[in-house]
Amino acid sequence: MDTLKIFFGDQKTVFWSVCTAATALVVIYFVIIPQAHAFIDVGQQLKQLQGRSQALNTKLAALQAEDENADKENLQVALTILPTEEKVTEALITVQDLLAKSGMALYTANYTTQRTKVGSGFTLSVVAKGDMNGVRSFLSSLDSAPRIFRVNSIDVRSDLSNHGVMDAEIPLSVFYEPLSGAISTGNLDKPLPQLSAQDKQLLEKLTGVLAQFPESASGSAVEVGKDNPFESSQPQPTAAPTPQPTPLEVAPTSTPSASLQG
Amino acid sequence: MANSIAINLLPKEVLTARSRSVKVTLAYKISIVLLIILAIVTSTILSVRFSQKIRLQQAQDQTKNLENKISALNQREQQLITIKQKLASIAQLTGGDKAEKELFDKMVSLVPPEMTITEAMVDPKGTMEISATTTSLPAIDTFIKAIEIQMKTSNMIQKLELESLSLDPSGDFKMLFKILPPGTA
Repeated sequence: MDTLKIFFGDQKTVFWSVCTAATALVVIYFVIIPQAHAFIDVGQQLKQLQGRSQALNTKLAALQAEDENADKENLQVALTILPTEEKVTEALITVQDLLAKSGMALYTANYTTQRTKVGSGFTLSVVAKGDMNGVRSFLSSLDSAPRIFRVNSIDVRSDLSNHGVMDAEIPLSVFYEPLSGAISTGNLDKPLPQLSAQDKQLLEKLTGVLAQFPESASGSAVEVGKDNPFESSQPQPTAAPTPQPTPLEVAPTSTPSASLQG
Repeated sequence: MANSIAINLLPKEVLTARSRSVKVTLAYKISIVLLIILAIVTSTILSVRFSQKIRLQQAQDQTKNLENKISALNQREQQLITIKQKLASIAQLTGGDKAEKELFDKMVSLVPPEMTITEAMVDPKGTMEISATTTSLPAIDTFIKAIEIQMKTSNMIQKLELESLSLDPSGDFKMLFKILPPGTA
């Protein structure tokens, strides 16, 4: 014990220095270095968070500034022009309307499930009767229709039995687009898409188109069904001698066979 | 200048002990200074880390709050995304048949009054065929010249071919024109 006391008494400078150095090393290795690392990491994390927070703030401000009603109307317009479902009958009614406005009469219509080359769509082949000006007018009116129609081909021939009347066979691609699943999830960090000037111009044009076809734009619910589904809807021969035309029937110029084949 | 001589008469043991004592004191001082510096650095780092932790927590809370607010307005965002997507699709799908419709319209409008179209056809490739009848031979020439002018002035037509021309006993000329759009071989 005395020897130890003498030894540490003689070597206390060295002992003190070693102890201090060891303490310093322990503190540096176990406290200062990890904390410095953590400081740098958290600093970066903070920077990222601040950046994200700024982006989210901008997005929130943009979202709050959005006119919800205007967006709803715009969405309604876009969904009317490019619906999420086929809506074959609506497309056919539109074509019939356009033909009538062009001074032509729908003769036959044929719906096929043949898919279009681009996007989702179906083919609607129509045969109409009228003069050449009517055909031209109809083709031009398709550009301002409340649905997207693409002319696949045009075949116009004169009706030999009826001088001056042309038979126009025009297969049309009619487009629709189902909603994609990705939309429903949404992504918080994605910036809010803004409508470009081109988009706004297109929307304005589409709104103008739909204004000419209020029945397409309204999308109002039509009362369907009848009290007795087994009862014929044809008018009784004694009650009404002139039958009401169905939407698909055309003026009977020769032998109309308006049909819709599935 | 007188030379001065210093003589230390202290015993050697005392001198050795004094020298050691100076070294020990210096070592103590250095160690204490080092430990004080370490303590200051450590406490500074720890306090900075503590304040950083608080700021991090605040930033996280703020971000969470913003996320909640944006999530509450998710429907608006979805609407806008859908509108944007639909408009892009509409822009892509419209106007795909513009060339065919324009060709048909133009060709039909160029037919002179003396000529009657019996059939006009535009196929999916954009090639147009016109069958027509006329009693006037100059009308055919007028039609061909009108189309040639169109070929020169616009990029709508590449080639006009007179596929057939016949004369009926009744005096009617029957002809078939084939009009090729640009880009066809």
